[in-house]
Amino acid sequence: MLTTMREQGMTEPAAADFESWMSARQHRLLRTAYLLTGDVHAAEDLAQTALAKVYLAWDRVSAAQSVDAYARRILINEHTSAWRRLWRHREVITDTSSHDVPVPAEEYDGVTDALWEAVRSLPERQRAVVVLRYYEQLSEREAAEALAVSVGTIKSQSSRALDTLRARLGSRTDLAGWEAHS
Amino acid sequence: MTPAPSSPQNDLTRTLNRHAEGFAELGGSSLDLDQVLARAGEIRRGRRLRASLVMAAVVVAVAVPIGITNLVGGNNATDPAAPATHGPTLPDRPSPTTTKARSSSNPLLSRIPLGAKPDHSYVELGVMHDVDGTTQQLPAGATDRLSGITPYLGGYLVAGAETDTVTLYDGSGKVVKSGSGPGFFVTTSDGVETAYVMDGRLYSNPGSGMASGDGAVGPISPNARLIGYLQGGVLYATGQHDADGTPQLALSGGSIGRDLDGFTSVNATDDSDDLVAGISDPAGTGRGVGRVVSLRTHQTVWSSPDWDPVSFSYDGKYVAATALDTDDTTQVAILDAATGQVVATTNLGAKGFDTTDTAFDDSDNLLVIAQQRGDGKEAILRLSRNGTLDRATAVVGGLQTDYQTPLIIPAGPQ
Repeated sequence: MLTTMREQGMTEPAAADFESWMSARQHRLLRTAYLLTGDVHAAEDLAQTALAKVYLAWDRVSAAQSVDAYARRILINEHTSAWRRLWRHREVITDTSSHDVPVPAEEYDGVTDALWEAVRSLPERQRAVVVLRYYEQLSEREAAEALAVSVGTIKSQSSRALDTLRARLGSRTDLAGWEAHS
Repeated sequence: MTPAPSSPQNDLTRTLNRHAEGFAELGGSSLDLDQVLARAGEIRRGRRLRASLVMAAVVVAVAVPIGITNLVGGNNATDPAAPATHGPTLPDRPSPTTTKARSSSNPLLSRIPLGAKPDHSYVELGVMHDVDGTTQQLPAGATDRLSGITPYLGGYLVAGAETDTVTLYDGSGKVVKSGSGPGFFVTTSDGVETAYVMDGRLYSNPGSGMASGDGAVGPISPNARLIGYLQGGVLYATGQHDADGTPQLALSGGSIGRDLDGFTSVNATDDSDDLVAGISDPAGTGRGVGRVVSLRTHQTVWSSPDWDPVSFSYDGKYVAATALDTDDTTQVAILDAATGQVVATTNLGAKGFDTTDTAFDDSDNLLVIAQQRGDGKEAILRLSRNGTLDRATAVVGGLQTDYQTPLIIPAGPQ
Protein backbone atom coordinates (compact mmCIF):
# COMPACT_ATOMS: atom_id res chain seq x y z
CA MET A 1 0.00 0.00 0.00
CA LEU A 2 2.76 2.40 0.88
CA THR A 3 4.26 1.60 -2.50
CA THR A 4 1.07 2.71 -4.20
CA MET A 5 1.02 5.87 -2.18
CA ARG A 6 4.65 6.59 -2.95
CA GLU A 7 3.91 6.04 -6.62
CA GLN A 8 1.27 8.71 -6.32
CA GLY A 9 3.83 11.15 -5.05
CA MET A 10 3.50 10.76 -1.30
CA THR A 11 6.55 10.30 0.88
CA GLU A 12 6.67 7.22 3.09
CA PRO A 13 6.23 9.11 6.37
CA ALA A 14 3.34 11.07 4.89
CA ALA A 15 1.73 7.88 3.59
CA ALA A 16 2.00 6.30 7.01
CA ASP A 17 0.55 9.43 8.59
CA PHE A 18 -2.41 9.44 6.23
CA GLU A 19 -3.11 5.76 6.74
CA SER A 20 -2.99 6.20 10.48
CA TRP A 21 -5.23 9.24 10.38
CA MET A 22 -7.71 7.55 8.09
CA SER A 23 -7.83 4.47 10.26
CA ALA A 24 -8.62 6.58 13.30
CA ARG A 25 -11.10 8.97 11.72
CA GLN A 26 -12.93 7.19 8.96
CA HIS A 27 -15.63 5.78 11.22
CA ARG A 28 -16.61 9.20 12.48
CA LEU A 29 -16.66 10.53 8.94
CA LEU A 30 -18.76 7.59 7.81
CA ARG A 31 -21.31 8.16 10.54
CA THR A 32 -21.57 11.84 9.76
CA ALA A 33 -21.89 11.00 6.08
CA TYR A 34 -24.68 8.58 6.90
CA LEU A 35 -26.56 11.18 8.92
CA LEU A 36 -26.17 13.64 6.06
CA THR A 37 -27.29 11.28 3.34
CA GLY A 38 -29.53 8.83 5.20
CA ASP A 39 -28.28 6.10 2.90
CA VAL A 40 -25.56 3.51 3.50
CA HIS A 41 -24.19 3.40 -0.01
CA ALA A 42 -24.34 7.13 -0.50
CA ALA A 43 -22.61 7.61 2.85
CA GLU A 44 -19.79 5.24 1.91
CA ASP A 45 -19.38 6.93 -1.42
CA LEU A 46 -19.40 10.38 0.14
CA ALA A 47 -16.87 9.46 2.82
CA GLN A 48 -14.67 7.70 0.30
CA THR A 49 -14.56 10.74 -1.94
CA ALA A 50 -13.88 13.04 0.99
CA LEU A 51 -11.04 10.83 2.17
CA ALA A 52 -9.61 10.69 -1.35
CA LYS A 53 -9.56 14.46 -1.51
CA VAL A 54 -7.94 14.71 1.89
CA TYR A 55 -5.35 12.24 0.61
CA LEU A 56 -4.69 14.32 -2.50
CA ALA A 57 -4.26 17.42 -0.37
CA TRP A 58 -2.44 15.67 2.46
CA ASP A 59 0.87 17.47 2.11
CA ARG A 60 -0.93 20.79 2.38
CA VAL A 61 -3.54 20.02 5.01
CA SER A 62 -1.52 17.77 7.29
CA ALA A 63 0.46 20.79 8.34
CA ALA A 64 -2.74 22.59 9.26
CA GLN A 65 -3.99 22.67 12.80
CA SER A 66 -6.99 20.45 12.24
CA VAL A 67 -7.11 17.84 9.54
CA ASP A 68 -10.39 16.69 11.03
CA ALA A 69 -12.01 20.06 10.43
CA TYR A 70 -10.68 20.09 6.87
CA ALA A 71 -12.03 16.61 6.23
CA ARG A 72 -15.40 17.56 7.66
CA ARG A 73 -15.53 20.60 5.43
CA ILE A 74 -14.70 18.52 2.37
CA LEU A 75 -17.40 16.06 3.37
CA ILE A 76 -19.98 18.83 3.71
CA ASN A 77 -18.89 20.51 0.49
CA GLU A 78 -19.15 17.26 -1.38
CA HIS A 79 -22.56 16.59 0.06
CA THR A 80 -23.99 19.98 -0.73
CA SER A 81 -22.44 20.48 -4.13
CA ALA A 82 -24.29 20.03 -7.34
CA TRP A 83 -21.97 17.17 -8.13
CA ARG A 84 -23.21 15.30 -5.14
CA ARG A 85 -26.80 15.84 -6.20
CA LEU A 86 -26.02 14.26 -9.53
CA TRP A 87 -24.35 11.33 -7.89
CA ARG A 88 -27.24 10.69 -5.54
CA HIS A 89 -29.70 10.89 -8.38
CA ARG A 90 -27.76 8.16 -10.11
CA GLU A 91 -27.86 6.01 -7.00
CA VAL A 92 -31.61 6.40 -6.91
CA ILE A 93 -31.98 5.56 -10.56
CA THR A 94 -29.82 2.47 -10.53
CA ASP A 95 -31.05 1.01 -7.27
CA THR A 96 -34.36 1.94 -5.79
CA SER A 97 -34.09 -0.37 -2.79
CA SER A 98 -33.77 1.20 0.62
CA HIS A 99 -30.30 1.45 2.10
CA ASP A 100 -31.50 2.72 5.44
CA VAL A 101 -30.06 1.05 8.47
CA PRO A 102 -32.39 -0.47 11.03
CA VAL A 103 -31.76 0.54 14.58
CA PRO A 104 -31.12 -2.52 16.78
CA ALA A 105 -34.32 -3.90 18.23
CA GLU A 106 -33.29 -3.17 21.77
CA GLU A 107 -32.64 0.38 20.72
CA TYR A 108 -35.90 0.83 18.85
CA ASP A 109 -37.76 3.83 20.02
CA GLY A 110 -40.78 5.18 18.23
CA VAL A 111 -39.85 8.69 19.18
CA THR A 112 -36.38 8.66 17.71
CA ASP A 113 -37.65 6.76 14.71
CA ALA A 114 -40.22 9.44 13.97
CA LEU A 115 -37.69 12.15 14.61
CA TRP A 116 -35.13 10.48 12.36
CA GLU A 117 -37.64 10.26 9.55
CA ALA A 118 -38.42 13.93 10.02
CA VAL A 119 -34.71 14.82 10.02
CA ARG A 120 -34.20 12.85 6.83
CA SER A 121 -36.92 14.84 5.15
CA LEU A 122 -35.32 18.18 5.96
CA PRO A 123 -33.87 20.24 3.12
CA GLU A 124 -30.20 19.56 2.57
CA ARG A 125 -28.71 22.58 4.26
CA GLN A 126 -31.01 22.42 7.25
CA ARG A 127 -30.15 18.77 7.73
CA ALA A 128 -26.44 19.59 7.52
CA VAL A 129 -26.83 22.25 10.20
CA VAL A 130 -28.74 19.83 12.42
CA VAL A 131 -26.07 17.15 12.03
CA LEU A 132 -23.23 19.55 12.73
CA ARG A 133 -24.90 21.17 15.72
CA TYR A 134 -26.56 18.18 17.38
CA TYR A 135 -24.41 15.24 16.34
CA GLU A 136 -20.98 16.75 15.83
CA GLN A 137 -21.77 19.12 18.69
CA LEU A 138 -20.18 22.04 16.92
CA SER A 139 -20.76 25.56 18.13
CA GLU A 140 -22.61 27.94 15.85
CA ARG A 141 -19.32 29.48 14.83
CA GLU A 142 -17.69 26.11 14.14
CA ALA A 143 -20.69 25.04 12.09
CA ALA A 144 -20.54 28.30 10.19
CA GLU A 145 -16.91 27.66 9.34
CA ALA A 146 -17.66 24.10 8.26
CA LEU A 147 -20.43 25.25 5.96
CA ALA A 148 -18.64 28.45 4.90
CA VAL A 149 -21.60 30.59 5.87
CA SER A 150 -22.22 33.23 8.50
CA VAL A 151 -23.23 32.50 12.06
CA GLY A 152 -26.49 34.24 11.27
CA THR A 153 -27.18 31.72 8.54
CA ILE A 154 -26.53 28.88 10.94
CA LYS A 155 -28.96 30.43 13.39
CA SER A 156 -31.65 30.93 10.80
CA GLN A 157 -31.20 27.48 9.26
CA SER A 158 -31.25 25.85 12.68
CA SER A 159 -34.37 27.76 13.63
CA ARG A 160 -36.08 26.80 10.40
CA ALA A 161 -35.09 23.18 10.85
CA LEU A 162 -36.57 23.06 14.34
CA ASP A 163 -39.73 24.75 13.11
CA THR A 164 -40.02 22.23 10.31
CA LEU A 165 -39.52 19.35 12.71
CA ARG A 166 -42.06 20.82 15.13
CA ALA A 167 -44.58 21.10 12.33
CA ARG A 168 -44.08 17.46 11.46
CA LEU A 169 -43.95 16.10 14.98
CA GLY A 170 -46.18 18.47 16.89
CA SER A 171 -49.16 16.13 16.86
CA ARG A 172 -47.27 13.44 18.76
CA THR A 173 -48.17 13.46 22.41
CA ASP A 174 -45.08 11.42 23.31
CA LEU A 175 -42.73 14.17 22.19
CA ALA A 176 -42.56 16.86 24.83
CA GLY A 177 -41.30 20.20 23.64
CA TRP A 178 -42.10 19.62 19.99
CA GLU A 179 -45.42 21.39 19.99
CA ALA A 180 -45.77 23.51 16.89
CA HIS A 181 -45.59 27.22 17.55
CA SER A 182 -48.83 29.00 16.93
CA MET B 1 -26.11 7.64 33.97
CA THR B 2 -29.09 9.96 34.12
CA PRO B 3 -30.47 10.53 30.66
CA ALA B 4 -30.51 14.08 29.39
CA PRO B 5 -33.85 15.78 30.00
CA SER B 6 -36.21 15.77 27.06
CA SER B 7 -35.93 18.83 24.89
CA PRO B 8 -35.88 19.20 21.12
CA GLN B 9 -32.12 19.64 21.13
CA ASN B 10 -31.50 16.66 23.38
CA ASP B 11 -33.97 14.56 21.42
CA LEU B 12 -32.07 15.39 18.26
CA THR B 13 -28.71 14.50 19.74
CA ARG B 14 -30.08 11.23 21.11
CA THR B 15 -31.72 10.33 17.82
CA LEU B 16 -28.71 11.14 15.69
CA ASN B 17 -26.38 9.24 18.00
CA ARG B 18 -28.61 6.17 17.93
CA HIS B 19 -28.85 6.10 14.17
CA ALA B 20 -25.14 6.77 13.72
CA GLU B 21 -24.38 3.87 16.05
CA GLY B 22 -26.92 1.73 14.25
CA PHE B 23 -25.19 2.51 11.01
CA ALA B 24 -21.80 1.66 12.45
CA GLU B 25 -22.91 -1.58 14.05
CA LEU B 26 -25.22 -2.96 11.42
CA GLY B 27 -24.64 -1.33 8.12
CA GLY B 28 -21.62 0.90 8.13
CA SER B 29 -18.64 -0.86 6.72
CA SER B 30 -15.07 0.25 7.05
CA LEU B 31 -13.55 1.87 4.04
CA ASP B 32 -10.60 0.18 2.52
CA LEU B 33 -7.51 2.24 1.88
CA ASP B 34 -7.32 0.66 -1.57
CA GLN B 35 -10.74 2.05 -2.40
CA VAL B 36 -9.78 5.50 -1.21
CA LEU B 37 -6.56 5.46 -3.22
CA ALA B 38 -8.44 4.25 -6.26
CA ARG B 39 -10.91 7.11 -5.92
CA ALA B 40 -8.03 9.52 -5.50
CA GLY B 41 -6.51 8.11 -8.65
CA GLU B 42 -9.76 8.61 -10.55
CA ILE B 43 -9.89 12.21 -9.45
CA ARG B 44 -6.26 12.80 -10.26
CA ARG B 45 -6.42 11.07 -13.64
CA GLY B 46 -9.45 13.10 -14.54
CA ARG B 47 -7.60 16.28 -13.76
CA ARG B 48 -4.47 15.25 -15.64
CA LEU B 49 -6.24 14.06 -18.73
CA ARG B 50 -8.21 17.22 -19.01
CA ALA B 51 -5.19 19.30 -18.15
CA SER B 52 -2.97 17.91 -20.88
CA LEU B 53 -5.57 18.37 -23.57
CA VAL B 54 -6.77 21.67 -22.31
CA MET B 55 -3.39 23.30 -22.36
CA ALA B 56 -3.00 22.42 -26.01
CA ALA B 57 -6.39 23.87 -26.69
CA VAL B 58 -5.68 27.13 -25.01
CA VAL B 59 -2.95 27.88 -27.52
CA VAL B 60 -5.64 28.37 -30.11
CA ALA B 61 -7.69 30.48 -27.77
CA VAL B 62 -10.13 32.88 -29.27
CA ALA B 63 -10.85 36.38 -28.05
CA VAL B 64 -11.38 36.77 -24.32
CA PRO B 65 -12.88 33.76 -22.62
CA ILE B 66 -15.51 34.47 -20.05
CA GLY B 67 -18.23 32.84 -18.04
CA ILE B 68 -21.45 34.77 -17.65
CA THR B 69 -19.72 38.09 -17.52
CA ASN B 70 -20.88 41.59 -17.72
CA LEU B 71 -19.27 42.09 -21.11
CA VAL B 72 -22.36 42.61 -23.20
CA GLY B 73 -21.95 41.43 -26.73
CA GLY B 74 -24.00 40.77 -29.81
CA ASN B 75 -26.87 38.40 -29.55
CA ASN B 76 -26.45 35.44 -31.81
CA ALA B 77 -29.89 33.98 -32.03
CA THR B 78 -28.83 30.80 -33.76
CA ASP B 79 -29.70 27.50 -32.15
CA PRO B 80 -27.40 27.17 -29.16
CA ALA B 81 -27.67 23.46 -29.45
CA ALA B 82 -25.33 23.64 -32.41
CA PRO B 83 -22.52 26.02 -31.52
CA ALA B 84 -19.52 26.58 -33.75
CA THR B 85 -16.84 24.58 -31.99
CA HIS B 86 -13.27 25.55 -32.69
CA GLY B 87 -11.55 23.98 -29.74
CA PRO B 88 -10.71 20.32 -29.35
CA THR B 89 -13.03 18.09 -27.40
CA LEU B 90 -11.98 16.07 -24.43
CA PRO B 91 -12.50 12.35 -24.76
CA ASP B 92 -13.72 11.90 -21.20
CA ARG B 93 -16.49 14.41 -21.48
CA PRO B 94 -19.29 14.72 -23.98
CA SER B 95 -18.67 17.04 -26.87
CA PRO B 96 -21.28 19.64 -27.73
CA THR B 97 -22.33 17.32 -30.54
CA THR B 98 -22.82 14.33 -28.31
CA THR B 99 -24.57 16.33 -25.64
CA LYS B 100 -26.92 17.63 -28.26
CA ALA B 101 -27.75 14.10 -29.26
CA ARG B 102 -28.34 13.06 -25.66
CA SER B 103 -30.42 16.09 -24.93
CA SER B 104 -32.98 15.09 -27.49
CA SER B 105 -34.47 12.61 -25.03
CA ASN B 106 -34.73 15.16 -22.27
CA PRO B 107 -38.33 15.27 -21.12
CA LEU B 108 -38.50 18.44 -19.02
CA LEU B 109 -36.01 21.16 -19.79
CA SER B 110 -36.48 20.51 -23.44
CA ARG B 111 -40.16 21.40 -23.08
CA ILE B 112 -39.21 24.95 -22.23
CA PRO B 113 -39.16 26.88 -25.49
CA LEU B 114 -35.73 27.64 -26.85
CA GLY B 115 -35.10 31.34 -27.23
CA ALA B 116 -32.10 33.46 -28.11
CA LYS B 117 -28.67 32.73 -26.74
CA PRO B 118 -27.55 34.69 -23.70
CA ASP B 119 -26.16 38.14 -24.34
CA HIS B 120 -23.15 37.03 -22.36
CA SER B 121 -20.57 34.37 -22.84
CA TYR B 122 -21.15 31.30 -20.75
CA VAL B 123 -19.57 28.04 -19.72
CA GLU B 124 -21.02 24.59 -20.09
CA LEU B 125 -19.28 21.28 -19.60
CA GLY B 126 -15.93 22.97 -19.35
CA VAL B 127 -16.29 24.81 -22.65
CA MET B 128 -16.58 28.57 -22.85
CA HIS B 129 -19.08 29.83 -25.39
CA ASP B 130 -18.41 33.34 -26.59
CA VAL B 131 -21.17 35.61 -27.79
CA ASP B 132 -19.85 35.38 -31.34
CA GLY B 133 -20.56 31.65 -31.38
CA THR B 134 -16.99 30.48 -30.96
CA THR B 135 -16.00 28.09 -28.21
CA GLN B 136 -12.90 27.43 -26.19
CA GLN B 137 -11.94 24.66 -23.83
CA LEU B 138 -11.29 25.79 -20.28
CA PRO B 139 -7.72 25.74 -19.11
CA ALA B 140 -6.14 23.24 -16.78
CA GLY B 141 -7.23 23.41 -13.20
CA ALA B 142 -10.61 24.76 -14.13
CA THR B 143 -12.25 21.53 -15.06
CA ASP B 144 -13.32 20.28 -11.66
CA ARG B 145 -15.97 22.31 -9.94
CA LEU B 146 -15.10 25.63 -11.44
CA SER B 147 -16.31 28.30 -9.10
CA GLY B 148 -15.41 31.49 -10.89
CA ILE B 149 -14.04 32.82 -14.15
CA THR B 150 -13.69 36.38 -15.34
CA PRO B 151 -11.69 38.37 -17.89
CA TYR B 152 -8.64 40.00 -16.42
CA LEU B 153 -5.73 41.92 -17.91
CA GLY B 154 -6.30 40.55 -21.38
CA GLY B 155 -6.45 37.01 -20.07
CA TYR B 156 -8.66 35.56 -17.42
CA LEU B 157 -8.87 34.55 -13.81
CA VAL B 158 -10.09 31.08 -12.93
CA ALA B 159 -11.02 29.81 -9.48
CA GLY B 160 -11.36 26.15 -8.65
CA ALA B 161 -13.57 25.25 -5.73
CA GLU B 162 -11.97 21.86 -5.44
CA THR B 163 -8.53 23.16 -4.75
CA ASP B 164 -9.29 26.65 -3.40
CA THR B 165 -6.88 28.02 -5.96
CA VAL B 166 -7.02 31.09 -8.14
CA THR B 167 -5.03 31.13 -11.36
CA LEU B 168 -4.35 34.04 -13.68
CA TYR B 169 -3.88 33.12 -17.34
CA ASP B 170 -2.76 35.42 -20.09
CA GLY B 171 -4.58 35.60 -23.41
CA SER B 172 -2.67 32.65 -24.81
CA GLY B 173 -3.56 30.38 -21.93
CA LYS B 174 -0.20 30.58 -20.20
CA VAL B 175 -0.29 30.62 -16.42
CA VAL B 176 0.84 34.01 -15.19
CA LYS B 177 0.50 33.18 -11.53
CA SER B 178 -1.45 30.92 -9.24
CA GLY B 179 -2.13 30.84 -5.54
CA SER B 180 -4.64 29.99 -2.89
CA GLY B 181 -7.80 31.98 -2.66
CA PRO B 182 -11.55 31.78 -2.50
CA GLY B 183 -13.56 31.55 -5.69
CA PHE B 184 -15.13 34.96 -5.26
CA PHE B 185 -14.48 37.54 -7.92
CA VAL B 186 -16.36 40.80 -8.04
CA THR B 187 -16.66 42.94 -11.12
CA THR B 188 -18.18 46.32 -11.76
CA SER B 189 -21.20 46.16 -14.02
CA ASP B 190 -19.31 47.76 -16.90
CA GLY B 191 -16.60 45.12 -16.64
CA VAL B 192 -13.92 47.71 -16.06
CA GLU B 193 -12.81 46.65 -12.60
CA THR B 194 -12.34 43.17 -11.21
CA ALA B 195 -11.17 42.23 -7.74
CA TYR B 196 -9.90 38.92 -6.42
CA VAL B 197 -7.93 37.45 -3.53
CA MET B 198 -4.77 35.42 -3.91
CA ASP B 199 -2.40 34.25 -1.19
CA GLY B 200 -3.82 36.66 1.35
CA ARG B 201 -3.71 39.75 -0.83
CA LEU B 202 -6.54 41.68 -2.42
CA TYR B 203 -6.09 42.69 -6.05
CA SER B 204 -8.23 45.07 -8.03
CA ASN B 205 -7.52 46.07 -11.58
CA PRO B 206 -9.16 46.63 -14.94
CA GLY B 207 -10.80 43.44 -16.00
CA SER B 208 -10.47 44.19 -19.69
CA GLY B 209 -7.76 45.81 -21.71
CA MET B 210 -4.05 45.43 -21.18
CA ALA B 211 -3.33 47.56 -18.15
CA SER B 212 0.08 47.22 -16.64
CA GLY B 213 0.50 45.88 -13.15
CA ASP B 214 -1.86 43.73 -11.20
CA GLY B 215 -3.53 46.25 -8.97
CA ALA B 216 -2.43 44.90 -5.61
CA VAL B 217 -4.45 46.63 -2.93
CA GLY B 218 -3.06 45.08 0.20
CA PRO B 219 -3.23 42.19 2.62
CA ILE B 220 -6.57 40.60 3.35
CA SER B 221 -7.73 37.70 5.44
CA PRO B 222 -7.61 34.41 3.54
CA ASN B 223 -11.16 33.84 4.79
CA ALA B 224 -12.42 37.11 3.34
CA ARG B 225 -15.45 37.02 1.06
CA LEU B 226 -15.66 39.73 -1.55
CA ILE B 227 -19.11 41.31 -1.90
CA GLY B 228 -18.84 44.07 -4.46
CA TYR B 229 -17.45 47.43 -5.41
CA LEU B 230 -18.59 50.31 -3.31
CA GLN B 231 -17.49 53.95 -3.26
CA GLY B 232 -14.29 53.23 -5.14
CA GLY B 233 -13.25 50.35 -2.92
CA VAL B 234 -14.10 46.70 -2.51
CA LEU B 235 -16.60 45.75 0.17
CA TYR B 236 -15.83 42.43 1.79
CA ALA B 237 -16.69 40.32 4.80
CA THR B 238 -13.52 39.81 6.78
CA GLY B 239 -14.37 36.29 7.85
CA GLN B 240 -14.53 37.44 11.46
CA HIS B 241 -17.71 37.85 13.45
CA ASP B 242 -18.75 39.97 16.36
CA ALA B 243 -19.77 38.34 19.60
CA ASP B 244 -23.40 38.31 18.48
CA GLY B 245 -22.51 36.55 15.27
CA THR B 246 -22.69 39.61 13.06
CA PRO B 247 -20.12 39.40 10.26
CA GLN B 248 -17.47 42.08 10.24
CA LEU B 249 -17.37 44.09 7.03
CA ALA B 250 -14.56 46.19 5.63
CA LEU B 251 -14.05 48.48 2.66
CA SER B 252 -10.67 48.58 0.97
CA GLY B 253 -9.30 52.08 0.87
CA GLY B 254 -12.10 53.48 2.97
CA SER B 255 -14.35 52.93 5.87
CA ILE B 256 -17.99 52.08 6.21
CA GLY B 257 -20.28 53.77 8.66
CA ARG B 258 -23.12 52.35 10.65
CA ASP B 259 -25.42 51.88 7.68
CA LEU B 260 -24.59 48.23 7.35
CA ASP B 261 -25.11 47.43 11.01
CA GLY B 262 -27.63 44.71 11.56
CA PHE B 263 -26.84 42.69 8.47
CA THR B 264 -26.24 39.05 9.22
CA SER B 265 -24.91 38.65 5.70
CA VAL B 266 -24.32 41.09 2.85
CA ASN B 267 -24.80 39.83 -0.67
CA ALA B 268 -24.36 42.60 -3.19
CA THR B 269 -23.77 46.25 -3.97
CA ASP B 270 -25.16 48.21 -6.86
CA ASP B 271 -23.09 50.37 -9.16
CA SER B 272 -24.40 53.70 -7.97
CA ASP B 273 -22.37 53.49 -4.76
CA ASP B 274 -25.67 53.67 -2.96
CA LEU B 275 -27.52 50.39 -2.45
CA VAL B 276 -26.39 47.36 -0.48
CA ALA B 277 -28.45 44.17 -0.23
CA GLY B 278 -28.36 41.31 2.21
CA ILE B 279 -30.06 39.60 5.12
CA SER B 280 -30.89 41.15 8.45
CA ASP B 281 -32.31 39.73 11.62
CA PRO B 282 -33.83 42.79 13.28
CA ALA B 283 -35.83 40.86 15.83
CA GLY B 284 -32.97 38.57 16.76
CA THR B 285 -35.17 35.56 16.16
CA GLY B 286 -32.80 33.74 13.87
CA ARG B 287 -35.21 34.32 11.02
CA GLY B 288 -33.69 36.56 8.43
CA VAL B 289 -35.40 39.14 6.26
CA GLY B 290 -34.13 40.42 2.96
CA ARG B 291 -33.06 44.04 3.19
CA VAL B 292 -31.75 46.78 0.92
CA VAL B 293 -30.21 49.89 2.46
CA SER B 294 -29.24 53.22 0.93
CA LEU B 295 -25.88 54.64 1.93
CA ARG B 296 -26.99 58.05 0.68
CA THR B 297 -30.09 58.36 2.79
CA HIS B 298 -28.86 56.08 5.58
CA GLN B 299 -32.24 54.40 5.44
CA THR B 300 -33.52 50.92 4.84
CA VAL B 301 -35.05 51.12 1.36
CA TRP B 302 -37.13 48.02 1.88
CA SER B 303 -37.11 44.73 3.70
CA SER B 304 -38.95 41.52 2.96
CA PRO B 305 -39.66 38.35 4.91
CA ASP B 306 -39.99 36.50 1.61
CA TRP B 307 -36.96 37.26 -0.51
CA ASP B 308 -33.18 37.06 -0.23
CA PRO B 309 -31.75 39.73 -2.59
CA VAL B 310 -28.64 38.29 -4.23
CA SER B 311 -27.53 40.68 -6.99
CA PHE B 312 -28.44 43.97 -8.65
CA SER B 313 -29.15 44.42 -12.33
CA TYR B 314 -26.60 46.39 -14.31
CA ASP B 315 -28.68 49.55 -14.20
CA GLY B 316 -29.40 49.09 -10.50
CA LYS B 317 -33.17 49.14 -11.05
CA TYR B 318 -33.80 45.48 -10.28
CA VAL B 319 -32.66 42.84 -7.85
CA ALA B 320 -32.40 39.11 -8.41
CA ALA B 321 -33.74 37.27 -5.39
CA THR B 322 -34.35 33.76 -4.17
CA ALA B 323 -37.06 32.71 -1.78
CA LEU B 324 -36.23 32.91 1.91
CA ASP B 325 -38.78 30.37 2.98
CA THR B 326 -37.46 27.53 0.88
CA ASP B 327 -34.08 26.08 1.52
CA ASP B 328 -33.20 25.08 -1.98
CA THR B 329 -33.61 28.51 -3.55
CA THR B 330 -35.61 27.13 -6.42
CA GLN B 331 -38.04 30.06 -6.39
CA VAL B 332 -36.36 32.92 -8.20
CA ALA B 333 -37.61 36.45 -8.72
CA ILE B 334 -36.79 39.79 -10.26
CA LEU B 335 -37.65 42.50 -7.73
CA ASP B 336 -37.93 46.25 -8.10
CA ALA B 337 -34.80 47.52 -6.36
CA ALA B 338 -36.56 50.64 -5.12
CA THR B 339 -39.57 48.95 -3.57
CA GLY B 340 -38.88 45.22 -3.24
CA GLN B 341 -42.04 44.49 -5.23
CA VAL B 342 -42.00 41.32 -7.31
CA VAL B 343 -41.68 42.10 -10.99
CA ALA B 344 -41.45 38.50 -12.20
CA THR B 345 -40.99 35.14 -10.56
CA THR B 346 -40.73 31.46 -11.34
CA ASN B 347 -40.73 28.42 -9.10
CA LEU B 348 -38.21 26.08 -10.63
CA GLY B 349 -38.67 23.46 -7.93
CA ALA B 350 -42.30 23.08 -8.91
CA LYS B 351 -41.14 22.43 -12.46
CA GLY B 352 -38.75 19.69 -11.34
CA PHE B 353 -35.53 21.67 -11.37
CA ASP B 354 -32.86 22.72 -8.94
CA THR B 355 -30.91 25.86 -9.54
CA THR B 356 -27.31 26.64 -8.73
CA ASP B 357 -26.91 30.25 -9.70
CA THR B 358 -28.37 33.33 -11.29
CA ALA B 359 -26.95 36.31 -13.17
CA PHE B 360 -28.57 39.20 -14.96
CA ASP B 361 -28.21 38.93 -18.72
CA ASP B 362 -29.33 42.51 -19.12
CA SER B 363 -31.64 44.55 -16.97
CA ASP B 364 -34.69 42.94 -18.53
CA ASN B 365 -33.66 39.33 -18.21
CA LEU B 366 -32.32 37.11 -15.48
CA LEU B 367 -30.36 34.00 -16.39
CA VAL B 368 -30.89 31.00 -14.15
CA ILE B 369 -28.95 27.77 -14.19
CA ALA B 370 -31.47 24.97 -14.00
CA GLN B 371 -30.60 21.39 -13.21
CA GLN B 372 -33.17 18.74 -13.90
CA ARG B 373 -33.95 16.52 -10.96
CA GLY B 374 -33.53 12.85 -11.66
CA ASP B 375 -30.95 12.88 -14.40
CA GLY B 376 -28.97 16.04 -13.67
CA LYS B 377 -29.26 17.54 -17.15
CA GLU B 378 -28.80 21.27 -17.20
CA ALA B 379 -29.59 24.35 -19.22
CA ILE B 380 -29.58 28.08 -18.79
CA LEU B 381 -33.06 29.51 -18.52
CA ARG B 382 -34.05 33.13 -18.91
CA LEU B 383 -36.69 34.80 -16.77
CA SER B 384 -37.83 38.02 -18.35
CA ARG B 385 -39.33 41.02 -16.62
CA ASN B 386 -42.60 40.29 -18.38
CA GLY B 387 -42.69 36.92 -16.61
CA THR B 388 -41.88 34.69 -19.54
CA LEU B 389 -39.47 31.81 -19.11
CA ASP B 390 -37.49 30.46 -22.01
CA ARG B 391 -34.36 28.43 -22.52
CA ALA B 392 -31.17 30.19 -23.57
CA THR B 393 -28.97 27.16 -24.23
CA ALA B 394 -29.13 23.55 -25.21
CA VAL B 395 -29.87 20.88 -22.60
CA VAL B 396 -26.58 19.24 -21.73
CA GLY B 397 -24.77 17.24 -19.10
CA GLY B 398 -26.40 14.69 -16.94
CA LEU B 399 -25.16 11.75 -15.00
CA GLN B 400 -22.36 10.99 -17.39
CA THR B 401 -20.66 14.23 -16.51
CA ASP B 402 -19.67 13.50 -12.93
CA TYR B 403 -16.34 15.09 -12.10
CA GLN B 404 -17.04 17.77 -14.64
CA THR B 405 -17.62 21.42 -14.05
CA PRO B 406 -21.01 22.89 -13.41
CA LEU B 407 -22.78 24.10 -16.46
CA ILE B 408 -22.17 27.76 -16.09
CA ILE B 409 -20.44 30.14 -13.71
CA PRO B 410 -21.31 33.80 -13.51
CA ALA B 411 -18.37 36.08 -13.15
CA GLY B 412 -20.11 39.04 -11.60
CA PRO B 413 -21.00 39.57 -7.95
CA GLN B 414 -22.15 36.28 -6.46
